[in-house]
Amino acid sequence: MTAPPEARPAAHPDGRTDADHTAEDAATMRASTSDPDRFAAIFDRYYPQIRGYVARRLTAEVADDVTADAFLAAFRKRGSYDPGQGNVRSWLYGFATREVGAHRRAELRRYRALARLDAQPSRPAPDGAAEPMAAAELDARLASALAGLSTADRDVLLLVALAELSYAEVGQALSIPDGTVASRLNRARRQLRAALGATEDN
Amino acid sequence: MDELRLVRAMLDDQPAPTATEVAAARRRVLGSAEPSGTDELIRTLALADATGTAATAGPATAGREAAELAGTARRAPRGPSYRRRAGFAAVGAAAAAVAVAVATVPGGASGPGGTATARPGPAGRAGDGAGQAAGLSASQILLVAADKAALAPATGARWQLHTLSGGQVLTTGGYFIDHRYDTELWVPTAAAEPTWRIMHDLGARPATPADVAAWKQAGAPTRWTIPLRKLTPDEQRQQAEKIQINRKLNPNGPLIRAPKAQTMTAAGGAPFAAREDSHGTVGVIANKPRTLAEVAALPTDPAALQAWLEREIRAGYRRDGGTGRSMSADLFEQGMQIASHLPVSPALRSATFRMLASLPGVRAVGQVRDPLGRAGYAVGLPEKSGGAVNEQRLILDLRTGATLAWEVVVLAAYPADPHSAQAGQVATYEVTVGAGWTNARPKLPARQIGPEDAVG
Repeated sequence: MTAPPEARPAAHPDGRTDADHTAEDAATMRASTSDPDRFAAIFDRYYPQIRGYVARRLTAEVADDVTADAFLAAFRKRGSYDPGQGNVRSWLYGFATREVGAHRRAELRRYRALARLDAQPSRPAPDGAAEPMAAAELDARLASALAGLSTADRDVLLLVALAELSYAEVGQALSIPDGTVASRLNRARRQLRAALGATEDN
Repeated sequence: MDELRLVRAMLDDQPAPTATEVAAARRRVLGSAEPSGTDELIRTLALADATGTAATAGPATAGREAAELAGTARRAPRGPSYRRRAGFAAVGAAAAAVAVAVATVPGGASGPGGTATARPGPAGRAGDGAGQAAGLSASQILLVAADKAALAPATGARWQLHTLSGGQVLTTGGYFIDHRYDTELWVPTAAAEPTWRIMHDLGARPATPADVAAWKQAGAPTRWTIPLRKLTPDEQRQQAEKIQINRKLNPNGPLIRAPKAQTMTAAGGAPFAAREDSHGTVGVIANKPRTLAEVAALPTDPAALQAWLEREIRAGYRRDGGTGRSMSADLFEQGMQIASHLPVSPALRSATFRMLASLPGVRAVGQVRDPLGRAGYAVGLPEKSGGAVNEQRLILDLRTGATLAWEVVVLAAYPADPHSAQAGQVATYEVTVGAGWTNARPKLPARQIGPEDAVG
């Protein structure tokens, strides 16, 4: 809880964005089917952000193990990666989300721990937080609402909130149509807002 | 209200991984790759690791085939050093766990002190390992490491070097103890941030089964006095070097003083963090602290690198009248330093290994275990030192090109010097627990000192 926040992996250290990497990634994936060592480039490029996503859902304690499992699963399926079905990044988030799913109880434990008011670190209310509600109580309500979401809805919500995937990318990661992404996200957001006591149109 | 942003802010309380943790995950994923290129060379060896002495090999050395056969091997416990979460209380426990794990290695058995950790397994015993590296020569080992080193990532806000060092020390009781020190160095790229060196005395324990017996006979003390003795020329040089470097880094008060009669305890001490005025330097080559920019400017051609190093070694030690060693031995040690302890580019690490591969006298030791019980391949350079023959060894993980440890192994002891470790034993070791770039921050222990505070 006292750890400093990690810099957000918005851009890669080489200054390029994920989009710049799409074609290059696809070529690397193709090459890795005959030369597995090439997969190292995929690992190095995406491990930090995927691991960040897993850590936020499950805690840092288990994040390295779970993320390595996700990359191992992706490595074994590297031959079946199809660039026509989406970029490598969202493909990897799909594996990570499935691995997180195998640790559902750990995830719920985390939210329930965060939902305990006394477990909340005292920090200033985030900008735009509903005024009279203390930040701690806000987080507590949010955490218990997260625990109350269906797994399918929570996956969509957190891929958007934590991984910042687009609707199309979430669809690719989870192999579901865009329309389903939109409806799950709407439902999840409605539930969170209700828990926070906000009105529909805020 | 943006509930997505609130969710993100709430869950954003998890620390980033350390370099060690990322490296372990990377080994787990990529260590499973099917062989290709230079991997062909080590494929049989990896399989031997996985099916043979797998007790502590873990997935880092297990081939994918073996991992899948075993089914659960992929989830087998990793080395305790990787399991460690940065808390310092955990370090001692992790080290203890290592000792226990290693005690189960066939041929690496030891007494309660767990001191086999300080010695290579049977394959690493002096002179008998060369034939067991499945025909790998010293240059093949180093060239595989060079190829692998070229793949390593190199970005992050801080350079982290985590080492565990120790060695055999004679006590007034007449037996040897192994005294271990855990050190983490954190060098930021941001000028505003301080450099921290976190040190933790992990305590001492009898060094070998014979020492355990002598220790029990002496009533199993937990506190030892180390007799003052005349330092060998080598040790005097090293001591002078350490003090000199430390003065450069901390002009206001040395952190290291010349040794006095010393007391060592089994319990060790509480960890503390030393803030250093490192003036942008990230480590030492040939007696001189170097900045990140200087390191980055080093030649990545092996011959040019060697020429540069030879000049620096001559210049760096001139005042001391030279190191009294062969140029090969100095190049080996400085090369080890560059490849293992400094934030260098993959190209430079690769060039360093290639340079080491070309040094006269470097030999393949073969498959060994490092003091933490991790399997690797060692190359060594034997050198005469007074009446003794010692061998510097560099133990490498050929799957990643990572340095596991550097050791000085006694091949032939000083004939009449009871102060020196005996033949076949590791006199000094420095294990690289982790080295790499990270965005994580050091977890500082409660006790912190600045460059103005000297440590007695």
